[in-house]
Amino acid sequence: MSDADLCYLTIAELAGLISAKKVSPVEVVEAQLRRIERLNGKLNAFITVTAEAALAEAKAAEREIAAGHYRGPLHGVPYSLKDLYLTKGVRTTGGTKILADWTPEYDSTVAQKLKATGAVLLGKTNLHEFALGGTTINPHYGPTRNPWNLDYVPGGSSGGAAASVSAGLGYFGMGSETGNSIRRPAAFCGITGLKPTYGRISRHGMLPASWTLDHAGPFARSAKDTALVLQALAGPDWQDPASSPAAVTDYSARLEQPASGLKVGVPRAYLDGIGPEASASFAEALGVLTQAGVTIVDLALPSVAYSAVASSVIMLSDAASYHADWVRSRPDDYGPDVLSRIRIGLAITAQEYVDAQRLRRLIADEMVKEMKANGVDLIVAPTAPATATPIAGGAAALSDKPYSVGNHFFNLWRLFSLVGWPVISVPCGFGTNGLPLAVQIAGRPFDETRVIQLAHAYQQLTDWHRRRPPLE
Amino acid sequence: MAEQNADAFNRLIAAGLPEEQARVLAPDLAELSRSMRQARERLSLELEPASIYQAERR
Repeated sequence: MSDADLCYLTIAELAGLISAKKVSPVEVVEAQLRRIERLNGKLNAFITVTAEAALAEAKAAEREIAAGHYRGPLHGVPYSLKDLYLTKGVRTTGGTKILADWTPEYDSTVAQKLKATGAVLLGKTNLHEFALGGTTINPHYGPTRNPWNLDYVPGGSSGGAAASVSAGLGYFGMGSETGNSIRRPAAFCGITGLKPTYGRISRHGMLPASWTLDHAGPFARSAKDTALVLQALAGPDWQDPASSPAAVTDYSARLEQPASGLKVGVPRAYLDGIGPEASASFAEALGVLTQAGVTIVDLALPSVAYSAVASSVIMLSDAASYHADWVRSRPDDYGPDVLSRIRIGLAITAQEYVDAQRLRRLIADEMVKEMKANGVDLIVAPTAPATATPIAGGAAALSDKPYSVGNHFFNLWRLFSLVGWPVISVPCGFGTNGLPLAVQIAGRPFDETRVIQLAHAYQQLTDWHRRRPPLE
Repeated sequence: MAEQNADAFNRLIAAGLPEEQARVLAPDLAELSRSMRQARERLSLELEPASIYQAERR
């Protein structure tokens, strides 16, 4: 097997080879490190590569497995962490100049839990500064580049994590989402990204963008793989006050069940203005789901028109609280776009903040009501209105509308992190520029199993998630 | 519009921003506040703030 073929296996495929002792974790990590050495200069996906530690962990995994102590499907599997997850003894920058030399003394819960599975950390990935933006054009560590076209953004804020998985650098990467920071990079880089329910994965030891909106979640090459990672990470943690005590279920339980009988709703009012290619690929994706026996209905969700502004008010207020001292004492250490966002947050009123929290409740209540009234299990929409944008166009090229009310698509970018519902993005085609397009599938709180079931069913009928960017 | 921008400008100055920055950011803050006033029409008095979010209630 070539290095590229080995590096592009899914977690499920690799785990089968490692557990059967057909491939050793050392062999896998060495192939991954060679690939990082070759490609990271082009992509700038990693801020820090932990090569020496990765080889040591791989050797330990190899010894354990040879001795008959196989821990499970992540044992010996290389992965990356967005550089806002605290890692004991490994620099954690947050993509900021302010924390450029900071080495934490403890691990985030995510890093700790992944260590316990025997997964092997390859390094820390680039991000939009402090996770407060959608491009990963980072003024301090350089822009991460989209593996499908190096002149384009990978999306953000988890751009390094998405680019690394897309480029075959690691079998999964941990990202985080406050507005759309898992789904946008997953869509732009042509991979699968899962944002679980708010509180499902502990955020203890993650640098915050917004305490009441932040979620941890994985990027991988298939919906099935995201289930394996979620299984390792889900569960209560007293160290995160938002962590949920809800029971952890078997996220792979429905993978082999047919999708027929599921009913999905499409929030059609918010699709006006999406690009023709995104529109066509979404229509094709609905056609695939219909063939699989899924019933599709339109869903009227008028309050969703307020999602973008409610999300922005909460996000920027929380960010202002966290950054207030640094913004006043070290403004020159911030990039201009992030500094502007935080400064707007400093001037949001208390009433606007509380109203935004009430809107969040209004929107979620309406979604529950409409889904019940229509017998709908899941919501489906395009993930992005178009393919990735050129790095040269900066953030303006994304055409985001974070402060306006109306039937515009940006509300769907922000909706699912605002209400905290689980959502997955899966590739569903390509634009004429060769860049990926994607569809998102969302479910009710803690219904990750069904979200993953439908995404997996879609991936059984399509091969978009198997495509590789032209890097070889 | 000019009045809304002026109000936003004054809020940014009160938050400690330099004048030049406040002038640049005032239109964005004014749009945000205008949207929030519009959204407020949807809020009923019994809809309490969900400042501690509980997804499992849904």
